[in-house]
Amino acid sequence: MTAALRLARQSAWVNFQEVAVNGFLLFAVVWQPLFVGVTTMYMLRHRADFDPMYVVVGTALSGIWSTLLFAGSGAISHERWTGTLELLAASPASFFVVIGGKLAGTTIFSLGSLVLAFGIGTVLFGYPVKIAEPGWLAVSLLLAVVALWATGMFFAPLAILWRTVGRFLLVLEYPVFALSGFLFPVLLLPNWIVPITNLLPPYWAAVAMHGAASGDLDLSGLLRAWFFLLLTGGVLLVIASRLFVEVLTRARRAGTLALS
Amino acid sequence: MRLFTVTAFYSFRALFRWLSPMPYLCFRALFPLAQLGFFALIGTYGGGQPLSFYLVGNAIGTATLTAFGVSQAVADERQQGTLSYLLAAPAPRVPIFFGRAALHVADGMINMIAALAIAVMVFGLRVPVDGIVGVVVAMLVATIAICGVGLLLGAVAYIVLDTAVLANFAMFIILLLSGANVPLAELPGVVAAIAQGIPLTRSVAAARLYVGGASFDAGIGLLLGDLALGAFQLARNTSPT
Repeated sequence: MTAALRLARQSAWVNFQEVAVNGFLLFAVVWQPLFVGVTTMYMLRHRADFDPMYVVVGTALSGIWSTLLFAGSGAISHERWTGTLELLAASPASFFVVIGGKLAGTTIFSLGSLVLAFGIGTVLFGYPVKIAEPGWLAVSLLLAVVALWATGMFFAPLAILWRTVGRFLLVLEYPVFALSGFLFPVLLLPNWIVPITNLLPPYWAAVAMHGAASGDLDLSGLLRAWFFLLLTGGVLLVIASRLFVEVLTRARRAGTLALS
Repeated sequence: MRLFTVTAFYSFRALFRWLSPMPYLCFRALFPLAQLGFFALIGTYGGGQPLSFYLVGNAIGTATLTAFGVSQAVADERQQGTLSYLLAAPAPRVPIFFGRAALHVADGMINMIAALAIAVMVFGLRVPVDGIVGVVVAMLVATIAICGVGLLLGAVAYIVLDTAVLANFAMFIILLLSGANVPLAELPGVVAAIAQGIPLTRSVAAARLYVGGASFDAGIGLLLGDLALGAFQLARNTSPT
């Protein structure tokens, strides 16, 4: 257990240094949330009940989601392209733990979106950003980050097992923003879509974080959101662990660990 | 002419690796439609403008995706190691690089027509019969102007290696400043002035005029403005460096 944690920590640290200078992920963490946040702030501020914290939380979640979506769907194929997949497969260290640590590093990096989102509200627009329940928001953020990391872990083998699915994953950015209610309530969506949103960890992340930030959810409501956040994230993680085994089995069998 | 046609066909075909249509459908159809729906729903929730404002703005805004294809067609030459051969070849560069943009104009039009169809069928946007020609012309002008941006980004890609990031920057700046989602009057003075230099600003305004029932003449000046801007960027791209 200790060895696995040490491995995950090392993998996270190495990956953190790598993504911190990756132009595309920097864009996903900094610039995209900036544009989304500023645009949304302009679009929603006409509401009589406008709460800038709603945009701040939604913007932060959009940045975290985009980063994990892109990093997650490319986590294993990146190893193949850089020629390290063979080494990872042959190593006695757990492949699942290495990639898990790697995505943990990306997840920590993606939290930069949260800092930026607060900056948009306070510095650019000059709104006094008030958090109704800071403690509950911190717990919600922690659980949201874990569940979104699990979603990224689910995408990693999926993108490499079925390449068509992998390409489809890359366009899930806006649909998940919409289906999860990051920046508008899902009740605006057609009725038949709403049950689907309940299956998504990002939806429960948005429910918990918006609820804690605005104070609209009481503790029982938050506990429900946290429960479903962990449940949906946990289910994806279990499926991911099976898929990771399948990735290595297939790659060994087909001789496709390396590109050449 | 032959060089232009061959370049247009093969660069477009190679970009999406046509062995499978899924990448094309994902990047050029689903993404813009998801973008349209997302911003239209935020606009509905915000309530600052009528829904048609966001639907028309974002239907025209889907043209920004064209910039990715055009700039990537140029940047891919470098990645595949063929850029040096292309630049050293005696073939004139204008048909080579304009050819790379040609099919993206048609493709951008298809994107926008699909987006407008979704706006009409799903969100109930009403386009008066008299305004259809105007809207189609606005779409064509928007795509040509954005292709100019795409080629400019492709040229910048000689210096900046990450074209995808460049094109993303361009897309978000255009979506924010062109008036697709935020009325220009609400932007700070300096930013609103910069917005006048953004291709699409006038195409979006013209399309809104036509959807609102204005005559074709009413938007001609605006469309000529965007066309001139696109031509300027194309000219900058093809000027000797």
